Amino acid sequence: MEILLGYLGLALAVALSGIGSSYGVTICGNAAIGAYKKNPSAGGSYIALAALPSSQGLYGFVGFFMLNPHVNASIDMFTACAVFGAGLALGLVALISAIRQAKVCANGISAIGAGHNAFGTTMTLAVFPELYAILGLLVLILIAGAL
Amino acid sequence: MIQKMKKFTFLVTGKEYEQFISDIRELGVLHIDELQSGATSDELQQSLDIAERYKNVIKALDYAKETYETENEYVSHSVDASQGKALVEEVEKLLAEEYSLKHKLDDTEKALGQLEPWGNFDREPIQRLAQHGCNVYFFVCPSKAFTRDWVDNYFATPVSAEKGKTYFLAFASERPDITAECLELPTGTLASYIEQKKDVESQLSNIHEHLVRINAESCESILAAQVENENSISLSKVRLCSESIAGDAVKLMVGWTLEEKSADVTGYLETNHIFYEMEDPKFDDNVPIQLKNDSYSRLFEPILRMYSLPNYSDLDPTPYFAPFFMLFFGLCMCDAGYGLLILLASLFLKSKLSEELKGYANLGMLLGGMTVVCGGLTGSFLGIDLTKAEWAFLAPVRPYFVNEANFKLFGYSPMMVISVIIGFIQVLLGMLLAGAKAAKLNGWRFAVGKVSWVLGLFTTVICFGLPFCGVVIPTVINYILYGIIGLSVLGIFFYNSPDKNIFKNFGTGVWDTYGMATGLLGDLLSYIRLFALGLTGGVLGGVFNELATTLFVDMPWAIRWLPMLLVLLVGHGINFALCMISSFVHPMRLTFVEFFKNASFDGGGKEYSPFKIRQYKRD
Repeated sequence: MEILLGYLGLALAVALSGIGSSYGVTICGNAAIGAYKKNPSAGGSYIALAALPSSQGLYGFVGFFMLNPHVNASIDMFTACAVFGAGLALGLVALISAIRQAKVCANGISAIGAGHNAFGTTMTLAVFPELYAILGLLVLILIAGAL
Repeated sequence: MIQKMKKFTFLVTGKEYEQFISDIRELGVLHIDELQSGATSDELQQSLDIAERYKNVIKALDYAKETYETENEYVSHSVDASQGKALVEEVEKLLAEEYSLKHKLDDTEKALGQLEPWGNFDREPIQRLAQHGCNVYFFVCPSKAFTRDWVDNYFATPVSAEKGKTYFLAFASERPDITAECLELPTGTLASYIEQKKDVESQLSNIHEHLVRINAESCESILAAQVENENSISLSKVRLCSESIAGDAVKLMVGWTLEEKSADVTGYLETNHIFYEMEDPKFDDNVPIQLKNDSYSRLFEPILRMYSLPNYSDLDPTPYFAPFFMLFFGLCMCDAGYGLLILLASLFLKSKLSEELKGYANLGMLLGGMTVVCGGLTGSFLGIDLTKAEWAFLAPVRPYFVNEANFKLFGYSPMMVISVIIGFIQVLLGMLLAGAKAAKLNGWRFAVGKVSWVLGLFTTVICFGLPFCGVVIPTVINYILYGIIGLSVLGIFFYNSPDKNIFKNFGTGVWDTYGMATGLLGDLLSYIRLFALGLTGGVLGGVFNELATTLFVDMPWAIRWLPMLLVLLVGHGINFALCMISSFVHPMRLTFVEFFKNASFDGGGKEYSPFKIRQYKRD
């Protein structure tokens, strides 16, 4: 049971954040294709903004890296619950924040496609949802550090 | 560095105005301010319409050059911009003809599609039958639906069958009521449509050949004419940049020039007795920006331009973020093999690229070199973890790779900790720049708050971080550090806004502390992505190496090498492409968000673009 809980925690951290980033970059990629048809000269800006939601997947991977050493054959229930809780916290926050961040980026891409100079502002605004994924990672690091 | 500018305000009489504009265009150093934003004139609108036509024609000629083949060799004519308008009209006429012929070809092919199942038949017998009250109807139906009843009742005669459909004729005085689709065929014969198609294709081919010939012989004349038109547009825009005073008797104009070029301008104005005023830019002026950096920092200016040029009150952040960007790229790619590839590719491209683009090759070499260094330090080469590779020549250096297998920092991977430390250094540098900006704008007193934060944070890390790492700090030094922290606290809470009273300073200090506590933590954790990206790339590369070596292990060596090579090429190719994108985007994001935010970078500057005559240059 402990091992199951532990690996479930790892899976939640990686899977949910990865799913969120996948959804996120897809939303932005679709917006980028549409914007490219209107304004092909800003391709670099579209790619840069479309890649931003990939951060949450990276945080999930870091989370796995931090928690993996604690999941082994001799794991106790306390540690297993901690790993599960930390993985769930990061996974859920990263999932939602990636998708919402992608919507901000997609709007920014659309604005650039329409000819507005919105790259810097979009990048700054897109960071706000990501802050909560960073806090989720921080919680995971603190939990992992206490184990 | 942002070059210093001088602001000129001119008062020119109506009579001298055109000559004045012509003269400053010859000088070519004045950036003219728009006094009436959004203003337009018939002359400008006309030039803009012509510019759009040039753009479309050049695009069409480029397309013709890429798409249509020719066996003829054409010689380029000498450049003659005066021919531009006539050439544009000729090309537009050809394009209109091409468009019309393409439609005709579509219609012809559609008619051919309808007639092909019926073959080439003469319509005269059909017309004669109709005169005698017997109409011929053309039907099609699924072959399975064709029934004998139709043969009996309407003399239904199948003509052909293809793709599961039967095409048949029916003879009756009125249209038969049967479950088959009755077709309205085109009036011509199959042979006539085939002939028509050949004719249209021949005409299209001639037009394409003509376009290719115009492109080869006269494209440069069109480009030269386009440049002349752009000069007309800039002249029309400058004419709209002046403000009329007392009717059109006097014109007011504002311009900017580099401080080093201001002598040229004043020399011309004095000689021609033009009334002017020269002054330094004021705080709320929208000053055009010209950057001047060394050859290293200049390579990173395109990255800054993706965000925004600095405004005149900002400090140019390029020399400060350039080394960090290079380092971040190296940490994100973090593979000596990939770095070597980038370095070699950039070296190769440098000899092939034009002078304008050589800068990108130099940038590639720098980024590739840094990637080699970071990959070498962490022990990663084309996805191979060098700490685990059992190669004898690595034995002396293996213990020194900065890798979790060799040592940990505070219980974590050393690269994770190093990423955060590098981020901390960049954030502190950003705050110092914010202090320098405040000092530049308002005086050194306004920098005290920011510098106190930098000093306080740095000293706190030394004071509490070093003992945490096992370093013993002498008591005297400790007391000095406490003193510095105390002074920093005073600066943060009581001297962050020297022009306000002590209570407002304290309130601002508390607010800044809250912002720092939440913002700094988030900023530092954001730098963990450098470690994550470097690790991901290495792990993925390792996975492809593992796949290549284990998948085909049962095959003999003579055959095995080919699929192994394919897996390695495809796998590392995909990994390399993904890592390249991430290694550009994430360092950009760290620069634009974390660094620029802490450096109080406002941006929003517009490029210094002096009013001058552009000349067409042959490639």
